[in-house]
Amino acid sequence: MKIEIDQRGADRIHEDQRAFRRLLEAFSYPGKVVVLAEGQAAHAVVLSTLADTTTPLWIDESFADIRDRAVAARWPMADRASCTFALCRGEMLDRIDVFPKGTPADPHLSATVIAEVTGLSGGAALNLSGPGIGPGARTFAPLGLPAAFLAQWTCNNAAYPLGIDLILTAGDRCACLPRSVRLEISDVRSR
Amino acid sequence: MTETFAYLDEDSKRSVRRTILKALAVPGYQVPFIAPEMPIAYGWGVGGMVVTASLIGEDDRLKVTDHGSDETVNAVNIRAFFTRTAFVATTTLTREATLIQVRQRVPEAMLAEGQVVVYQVPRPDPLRAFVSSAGEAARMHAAADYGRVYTRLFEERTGSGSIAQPGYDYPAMVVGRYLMSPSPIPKRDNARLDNSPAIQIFGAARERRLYALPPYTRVESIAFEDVPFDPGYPSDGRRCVICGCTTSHLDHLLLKDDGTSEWVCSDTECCAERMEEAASA
Ligand SMILES: [Zn+2]
Ligand SMILES: [Zn+2]
Repeated sequence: MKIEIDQRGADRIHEDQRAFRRLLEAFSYPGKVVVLAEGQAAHAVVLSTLADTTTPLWIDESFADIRDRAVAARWPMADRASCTFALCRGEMLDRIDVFPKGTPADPHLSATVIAEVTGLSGGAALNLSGPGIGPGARTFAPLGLPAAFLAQWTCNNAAYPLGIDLILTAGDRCACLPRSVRLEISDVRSR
Repeated sequence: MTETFAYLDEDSKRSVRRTILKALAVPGYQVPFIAPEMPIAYGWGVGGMVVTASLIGEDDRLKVTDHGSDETVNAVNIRAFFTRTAFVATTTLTREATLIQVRQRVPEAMLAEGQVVVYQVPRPDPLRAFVSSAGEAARMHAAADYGRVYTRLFEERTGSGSIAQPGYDYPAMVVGRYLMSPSPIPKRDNARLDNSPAIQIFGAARERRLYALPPYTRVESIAFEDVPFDPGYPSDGRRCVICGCTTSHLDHLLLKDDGTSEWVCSDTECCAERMEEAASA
């Protein structure tokens, strides 16, 4: 059972497939802004594409409607320290060390955090490096991340191959920061 | 009554999709996964088919090769399977394909951003050639403790003067962290895994492991100080009997009465393209 799928019928197979392929692209090319499903909230699309009765969720209370539907769909609810997927607002990314980051033997037993931010452009520009970043480099300027986020992300990098993976959403768009991606404040003025 | 697309049920696809994202987050790390059953036997590419079935959609254009060829029984069967179960368009041209399932070769044609290459993998753990225990291999991966592999591959050589390096499935290091099996591709193909613009996903059904290389990921064939990696290019002047190419990976076609051999390109797409270019020139 999945959020809002009751009315979707057989089309959901194709909707999920299309949304996953777009998410795969966003995840593979970090910082690339991708529409998951036109006109639909990307954070809800990520959950309906990936979550089910086997994935413990932590959903912040600012998404009470989604949480209610997830509970109704018998998706298991968990606390932040033991969730597989987390859904919260971007402001809450001042503490990402509270989420599971896996173990050396099982680095995949970590949380994927979905965070709704004010925008995926228009903020301070960050230079991305690491797997998925091509020769042209990539800058990414999300809007609405807390000041403490960059230091938290550096700690997340330091834990590699452990760590959380981040999916930032704004409206129907998303951009991903897998744990292997490094962020640096872009100072264009000094160039 | 549940409708299915590309054979797999939606719960299985969702589980494989979650695994694919984890694999991309930790390049080269073998993520455990429960490979759902497919209507073919292990050894015929179940791992690759499970990944392809979890990715494929109506808008895709699928290419399938087996040891570089679009026309072998295995390639034809897999292509027919997805045409039947997912009504998907197919192609033999890499540049037209959105999804490419392969076995034993990396496509020789240029790959592009957004394309996904799916590899069928029989033995996902390169350490199992060196240690017999799966638990010990897992411990070594967790600790990035790969000294024994280097010792086996390179110290022997220093003593005997003969190269013990395998010609296929030659281990590669991913972003300096995880030792990875490139699957049984000729070791010269390892260079094509490195820094590719495409998304590469490796599925091993029997061993229940899935791993991946995001685009633009550093993949280095392992080497040791004064013993560089030998890509194994032949030096006997062999050339393809069809297109005359000397630089592609060539497979042994037949041994002639006079004791000489005939060779043919393993990548049928590139061989055909060279023939067309020659004909139109
Ligand atoms: Zn060959
Ligand atoms: Zn040829």
